[in-house]
Amino acid sequence: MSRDGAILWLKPFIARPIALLGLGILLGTILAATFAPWLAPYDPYAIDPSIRLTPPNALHWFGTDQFGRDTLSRVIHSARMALLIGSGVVMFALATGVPIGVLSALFPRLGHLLMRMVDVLMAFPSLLLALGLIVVLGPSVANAILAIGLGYMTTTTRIVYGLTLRLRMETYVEASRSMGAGTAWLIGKHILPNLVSPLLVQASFVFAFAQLGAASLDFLGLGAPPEIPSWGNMLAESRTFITRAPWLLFFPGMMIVATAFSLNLVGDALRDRLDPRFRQLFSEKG
Amino acid sequence: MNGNAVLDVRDLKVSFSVRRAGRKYQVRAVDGVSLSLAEGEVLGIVGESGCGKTTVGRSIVGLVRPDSGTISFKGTDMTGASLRDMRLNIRMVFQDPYASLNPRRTIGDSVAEAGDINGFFTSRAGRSAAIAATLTAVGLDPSFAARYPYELSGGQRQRAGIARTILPSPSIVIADEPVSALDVSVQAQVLNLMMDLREQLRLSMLFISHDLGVIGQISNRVAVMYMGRIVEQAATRTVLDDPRHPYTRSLVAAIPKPDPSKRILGAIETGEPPSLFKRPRGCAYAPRCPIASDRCQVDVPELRSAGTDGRAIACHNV
Amino acid sequence: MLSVRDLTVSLGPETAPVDIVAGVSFELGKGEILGLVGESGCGKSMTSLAVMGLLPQPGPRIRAGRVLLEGCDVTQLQPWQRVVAGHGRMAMIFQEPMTSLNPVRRIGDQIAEAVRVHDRLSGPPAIDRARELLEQVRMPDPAMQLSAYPHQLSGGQRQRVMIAIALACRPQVLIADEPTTALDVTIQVQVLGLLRELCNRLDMAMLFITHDMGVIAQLADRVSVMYAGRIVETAGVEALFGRPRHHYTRGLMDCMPSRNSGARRLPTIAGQPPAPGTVGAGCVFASRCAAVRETCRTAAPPRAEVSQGHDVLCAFPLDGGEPR
Repeated sequence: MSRDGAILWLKPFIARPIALLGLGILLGTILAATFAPWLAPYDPYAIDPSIRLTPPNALHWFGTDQFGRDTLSRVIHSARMALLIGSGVVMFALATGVPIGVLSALFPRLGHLLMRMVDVLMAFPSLLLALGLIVVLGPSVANAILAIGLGYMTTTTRIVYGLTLRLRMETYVEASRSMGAGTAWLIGKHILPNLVSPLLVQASFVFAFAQLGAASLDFLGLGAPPEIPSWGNMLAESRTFITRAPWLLFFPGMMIVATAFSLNLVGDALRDRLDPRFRQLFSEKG
Repeated sequence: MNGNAVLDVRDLKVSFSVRRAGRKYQVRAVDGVSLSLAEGEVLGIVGESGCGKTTVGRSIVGLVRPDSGTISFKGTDMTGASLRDMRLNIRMVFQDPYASLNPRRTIGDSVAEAGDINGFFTSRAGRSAAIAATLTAVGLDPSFAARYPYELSGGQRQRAGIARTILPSPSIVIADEPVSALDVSVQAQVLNLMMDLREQLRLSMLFISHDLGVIGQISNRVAVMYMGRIVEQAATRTVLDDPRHPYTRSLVAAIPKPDPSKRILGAIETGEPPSLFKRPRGCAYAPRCPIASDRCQVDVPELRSAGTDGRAIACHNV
Repeated sequence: MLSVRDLTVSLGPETAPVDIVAGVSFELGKGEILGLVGESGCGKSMTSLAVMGLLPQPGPRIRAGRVLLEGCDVTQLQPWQRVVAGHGRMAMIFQEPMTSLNPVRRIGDQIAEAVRVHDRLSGPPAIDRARELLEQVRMPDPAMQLSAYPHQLSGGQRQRVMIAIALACRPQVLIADEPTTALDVTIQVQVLGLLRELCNRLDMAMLFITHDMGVIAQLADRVSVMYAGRIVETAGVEALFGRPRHHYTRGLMDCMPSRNSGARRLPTIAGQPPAPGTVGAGCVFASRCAAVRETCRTAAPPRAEVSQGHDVLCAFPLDGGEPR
């Protein structure tokens, strides 16, 4: 992408400070995940019964939990799980949703069958679907990704299906067909390139909602193994101390809210960027 | 007439199923059209919206599957066939210059698309040179190859759309309302370009338009369509100066002439437009026709030869 | 009746406004049809929206100038004041009637709604008035059509409904923005005929906006030609078509295919209209004008009255000697 292009992508963020805030939180989370061992002041697994359930103080900014582990360090390390689940779910949703949606739109007979199956999946509440799958497959990080991803595969498929139906009717696609283009050509040169931007927006929302889904599964003890730090696990472990040590719920809870919120903000800004009217406003030079 | 025809369409019928108010209708968009295009000729197809003129063009390039009828290119029947050779030989210019170029592809990629699809280019350098030459031929600077459609004006886009249809050079261009989305001053530039290209590349052209003025400028022969059928066909000047079919007459009379001393408002009667869902039993034009007789209500008039210069009319009463 | 003076509509920030309509002035007399003709982007639609007070918000705004309807500056009035003061007697019709009609309401109700707002009628009297309006616009079988939905009508009939709704407020001025562009020629001629008849019968003035010189020649009494936000020529329709004095007007007429049929090549106007904001000093048409001189590029052209009621914005207007 050229420098102009980069500026074009940044404009919607610069134009709206709140979107910049979202981008900031997101970058912070990514940094925390990447540099967790260096950023975290303590070992997140280190148990010290002598400082059980200390409230936030100068040494332990976010306090400690029932085993005396440093909450701040655990919150920072949890960002890794959050990003892993988020990107895993996004990848799963795109890797399944895009081919199913595109092929369903291009081949109506196949589409009728596949889209009815997607409709059936959509009829289940996504958390219920995830719970059912975990019960069958057993709890693990990979299965959590699969279980949450299945719920977002359906929405992604729907979006891709709708967009492709519309793109298929575009005059430039017809022009290409009139010159003898085959299905592979149409998908590769006309349909996928035009799906990139809307899918970027969709991916950011899926990422956000995956955070909530993962937190719910963790909370129910069906997500990441309990010994691994994750915001959902931290909530689950500390719920019995809700009155004695509210900081144990507050900080991981805040992180879940903040990441989901920031991704929604980023998604909104991306959507604005992709709105043709907005683009026109900013593409005029000078 | 069929001896040196590059394109010959015989008894083409196309219908669509349309859902309306919960019921499924079969709408016959093209109802038995026959036409032939001679080498180097420009045949204009004129008619109002819904008359099937665009569907005829789309059938010829294979975007619509006809119910019946034959389409042959230089004597080879190509109905149902998707032979590469023919794809490159018959190409289409579309109406809307804003919708006909993929916004995410460069002008160069769009112009070279037919060649890319059909493996026409043997080297990258040859491809770039061909794109540059084609852009120059349509009056665009070769540097446009690297630009995106949103950087171009409507007229420039339509030039790019035309460039796409002449690389590699085809035998036939189907032009579907290529200038109707453009402003008059730009329209004249694009029409001139199409006339020049026709001469330089010895193209035959099927020029589809609702605008008799534009058709009169570019075509040698005109076919007038009404509700899926050709109602009159003749040399362009003949149709414009001496229209005989009552529909052609009202069409010619209704053109707003840019001459305030020849005012027609209130002076001509044109009737209500037809509904494709309620096709009359006899002549489709009968409900609007000032000279309709009893026979017209029940008997569909066939296109029959009338006079010299290849004129044909489908009317019982002229 | 309607007098527009130095109307300037601008986009962009207050400090660096881009004028998309720059100092447009025209007068519209009772019962008169003024044609405003120009190519896309010349500012003709913005002019009409500004006159109606319908500029999209946020976006362009009236930076200068006045719109006087019977001497009252309507740009200074709030929308409710326009209705209460009875100065809202302007109505507008657009190119695409389908987007202005509610697809799920019967057209009788939609016309009656306009009647209710303007005549304070409701119930059966409003429906009666709606039927009367449909008769006025020569709708075939008006009593039946009252209960039709928009999609059941043809394009021409929908435009008749829009005209009926516009007539509900008994306008003194009707603004028509390309109302027949989407219609087939055989239907266009009917709608144009209807508009002309209504203007005569109701003594209504009309501002008719179009890109089509043919339509203008058929319909208008006087014509203003717009280019790059300015009116470059105004004249009676006979004078304008007989002896165009501005090079742009002449160019537009010359490149119409129907005036040239038979010629091997069409005359063209080189280049494209300037984008708003890129016009510098000098004449806006200088970059495309075949008869451009050095002064045209540096000094703004004067508005000259070349004959009674015929103004041209050109320093070196075409010779009026030989009629075309």
